[in-house]
Amino acid sequence: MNSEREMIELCLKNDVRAQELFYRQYAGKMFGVCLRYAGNPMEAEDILQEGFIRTFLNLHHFRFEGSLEGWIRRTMVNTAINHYKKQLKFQKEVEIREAVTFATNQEDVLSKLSTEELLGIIRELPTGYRTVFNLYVMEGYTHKEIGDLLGISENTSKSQFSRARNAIMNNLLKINAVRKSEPIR
Amino acid sequence: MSMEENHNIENKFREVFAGFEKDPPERVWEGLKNVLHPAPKHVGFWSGLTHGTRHMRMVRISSIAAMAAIILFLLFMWFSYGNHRIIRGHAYAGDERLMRGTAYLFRVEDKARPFDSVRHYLSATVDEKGSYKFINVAPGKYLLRVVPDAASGISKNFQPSWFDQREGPEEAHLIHVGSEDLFVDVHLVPGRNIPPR
Repeated sequence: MNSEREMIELCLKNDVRAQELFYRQYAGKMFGVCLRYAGNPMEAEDILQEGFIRTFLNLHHFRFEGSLEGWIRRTMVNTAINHYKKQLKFQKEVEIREAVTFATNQEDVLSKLSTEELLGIIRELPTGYRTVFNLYVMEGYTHKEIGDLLGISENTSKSQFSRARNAIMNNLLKINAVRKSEPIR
Repeated sequence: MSMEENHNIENKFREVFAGFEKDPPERVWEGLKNVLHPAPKHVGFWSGLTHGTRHMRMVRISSIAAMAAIILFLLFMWFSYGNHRIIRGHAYAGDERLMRGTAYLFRVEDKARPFDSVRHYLSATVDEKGSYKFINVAPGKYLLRVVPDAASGISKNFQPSWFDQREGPEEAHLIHVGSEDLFVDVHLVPGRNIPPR
């Protein structure tokens, strides 16, 4: 298989080898995306699988005009949004107490955290906050666009984002406090 | 919290997750492959009743119920009519076959008074070839009477007759229906205006 176009054409013919190659080429990056939107790794696996199913089913819509990775990423994000909408039917958002004071320099804490720890902080957010935070910070959508995507108002998106950020700050404070109390080895 | 602090946090997340990759477990690909290329399913009888969508289960159960109803109906019919027989034959007017008429079968209920206890059981048309047929005749004793059709012209020369060539039921021969189909020819009694041979 010489090119991306050839791989896509074989995928469109339902060639399992091409589909596997396609999947393995993008699975790692897309799983990273899904992990940010999901509440736990199992949920991320579900979103990833569903996202790839949608990708293969809609591959004939890809016009080779932009980046394939970007196109797949948008499909994954849309799948995650659908997942979020389904979840809204079954769970009630948990209100998070807003952080009132931020005593320390958060940058110090942030710079010491690993990717997994940051991922853990995102995962701890309620689904709605997490989705808005991801769409605004990572995908670069405006609050107006997020409102349209999630079926909420622009102001709700802003408020959810603000609460998400406060929740993250709260968690950073807690982590900072725990680290300070740990004995120096 | 200052605007600058907010932007620092957002930038930190962007920076960390921009190139973030993690290999998913192999089961994700296996599941995906199964969805894209499902293996043909061999659904067993009982698992077919408990697996699949609710609609599919209902369709299967309904099909089985319909088949069971048909089998029960066929069994009922077999027990009801399985031991029933056919009486068939021809009606003759002299040496010729009777051209149209009606055959009547009477069941004899009382063995002690055979000719006082007859009751009509079945009727059949005698066709243009002189043939008649009674189907689904239960085992027992019967009397058979053939009446020529008035339009056939034969009724002028031959009388309605009992099997075989008898004018009245008292003289008629009994037909015994048992375990086999019967072939019975009926000869009509000549009319009074027909000169004897």
